[in-house]
Amino acid sequence: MTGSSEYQPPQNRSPQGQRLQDAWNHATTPVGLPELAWRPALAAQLSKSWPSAREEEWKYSPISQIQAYQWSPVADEVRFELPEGVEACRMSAVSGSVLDRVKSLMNIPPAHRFNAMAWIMDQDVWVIRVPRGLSPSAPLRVFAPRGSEGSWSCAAWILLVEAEAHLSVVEYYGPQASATSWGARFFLESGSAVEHLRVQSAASDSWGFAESIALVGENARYVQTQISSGGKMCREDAVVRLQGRGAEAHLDAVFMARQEQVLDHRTNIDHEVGDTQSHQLYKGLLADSARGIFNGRILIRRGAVGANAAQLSQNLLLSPQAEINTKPELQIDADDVKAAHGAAVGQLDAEHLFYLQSRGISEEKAKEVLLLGFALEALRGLRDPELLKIGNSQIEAEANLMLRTRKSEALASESSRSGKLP
Amino acid sequence: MSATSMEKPALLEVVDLHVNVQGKPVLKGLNLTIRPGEVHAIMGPNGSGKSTLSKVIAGHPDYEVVSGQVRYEVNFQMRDLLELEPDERAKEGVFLAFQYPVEVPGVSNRNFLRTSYNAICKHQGTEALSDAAFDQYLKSKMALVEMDEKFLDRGVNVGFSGGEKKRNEILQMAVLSPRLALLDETDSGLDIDALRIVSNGVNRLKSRHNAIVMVTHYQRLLDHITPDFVHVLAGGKIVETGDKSLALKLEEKGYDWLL
Repeated sequence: MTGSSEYQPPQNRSPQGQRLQDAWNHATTPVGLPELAWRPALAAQLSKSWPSAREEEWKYSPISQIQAYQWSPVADEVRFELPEGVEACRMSAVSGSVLDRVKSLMNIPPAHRFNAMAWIMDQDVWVIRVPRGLSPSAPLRVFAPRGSEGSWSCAAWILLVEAEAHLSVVEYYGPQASATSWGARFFLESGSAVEHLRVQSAASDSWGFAESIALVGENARYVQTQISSGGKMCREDAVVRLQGRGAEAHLDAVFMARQEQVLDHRTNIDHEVGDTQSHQLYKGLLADSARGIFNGRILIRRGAVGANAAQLSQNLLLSPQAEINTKPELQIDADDVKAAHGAAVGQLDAEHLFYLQSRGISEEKAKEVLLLGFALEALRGLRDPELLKIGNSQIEAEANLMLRTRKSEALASESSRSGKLP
Repeated sequence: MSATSMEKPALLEVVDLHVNVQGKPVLKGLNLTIRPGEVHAIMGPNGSGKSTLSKVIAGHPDYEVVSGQVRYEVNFQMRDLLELEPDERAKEGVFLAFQYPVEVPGVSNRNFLRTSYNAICKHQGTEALSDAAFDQYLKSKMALVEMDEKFLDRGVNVGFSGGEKKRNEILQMAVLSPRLALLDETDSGLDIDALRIVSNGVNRLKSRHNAIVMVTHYQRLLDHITPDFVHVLAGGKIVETGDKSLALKLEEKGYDWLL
């Protein structure tokens, strides 16, 4: 070939895309780490055009709307409440075996470019360490930045749970009037256990991209429960790698979307070795013209004999305009494994309604009880009473909000009808 | 007029009831009168309409009443039961123990029972119990059906065995203390111990103020709960009524002699 110059990306970059790319170009590799293998690829993606709905990854997301805001990416602060005995230090201060574990966590690529921003902009993230055998009675509380007008907040943190240690984690994540990239990476050593509750309560004008990546070692148990209800659009990616025999992961979530909200949940579970288990229950409650997305990827690698993966996506559509896009993606490269998946989309069950009504519960109240029950099932993996309490009250508040708006809308349409009467 | 000769007023009157299910006639002119304090057994071959009758009385939306009346005593007046929503019927004391109790995941049994009990209290103008007082009340009722407390914090009927589901129905009956209890095949799927527990529960809930209607296939339930009347439902209507000896005769001879 003659005269052909090097390929140039199309020049349809928006000001927003330009800003993100500039920030990206100026960002350096996180302190204390070698160049990360995934960085150039994701940087290249960012330097191309803004993602469009034509990309499979963003097919159902109104991602193009963000461009108009022209937010500047900034590193933001994470706040922690540490239980006794749990230690915190900056990534730049870690060394030795702790650094090795941080490196193995950091080598995993983020699911997409906006998640990558969390780790690139936040240069020197906090590393929280739970020493071997420690089981604090109080949960670790983590508060993601709320963001500020005009900025795209980026923040991330790392959790190392040493052998036989047990920890409960509550993450509060709720951007206000902005966009947020929020990342969490967990390293669970052998025999450790983590119960992780993430409460997403973004403001209705906000955009969120959150990710969790967990490496789960031998006989370690990772439970993640997500409750998502806020944001104009929030996408949450959960990546789990089951790396040791006897490792298990339980990923459960409920997303409750109203109006024009888009709540997008992606999971990616990798059974790297045999005798590992994963269980997922993703529950969508969608009202008005809200849209929910669930994409659940499961990979059972060659030789991972005795792996057991179960995935269930259950969705209730409360209005004819509400929408759910649910898709399992199973790749099974081993024999002698169990893998099951199912998806259900529907309305409230008429037999359930009759059963409750036959016990004196009005139709209205029966619907409330059933909706709440549907959502509360997402807490099935939690054992820590404190986390259960937080989860219960969050779901109750959000379900009530959903019912109240539905009721007031019904009343509004009622009064507009009666308004026509002379 | 002497008080002894006066017949007790009816609690439920079913008059010439015709009911369709999915457009097909199932009940074809059924008549039945039930008074407080009575125990009735409704027997009959498969497909005769036994379950339909109890579902219609409880108000299941899939059953279409074509003609006839179902009247029920509320505050000493006979009211048209068919006008009431299923929850309103329950609030007036109608109770259906389901043949196949549904599982309601996510709603704890305790919460379900409390919501139900409080809805009925509210309707009757009595104050709802505090959570602690309700738990105490519930405990006494659970003893009646020998149910373990661990069932309270599980989802309604979720993971319950067939027998546990039926016991849970009787627990609900005990909590709500209905005036008219319809037991739809409550004995089916019960082993002998569960049958004894369920029957004991029903017997202890029986009083001169309430009535019990058992829909059943088998005589064996009637060994435990003695009926005052036994009716044979066949072809959509009641074709024979007798006392408990009729059940024994049916056990021996089958239904053919009546059809």
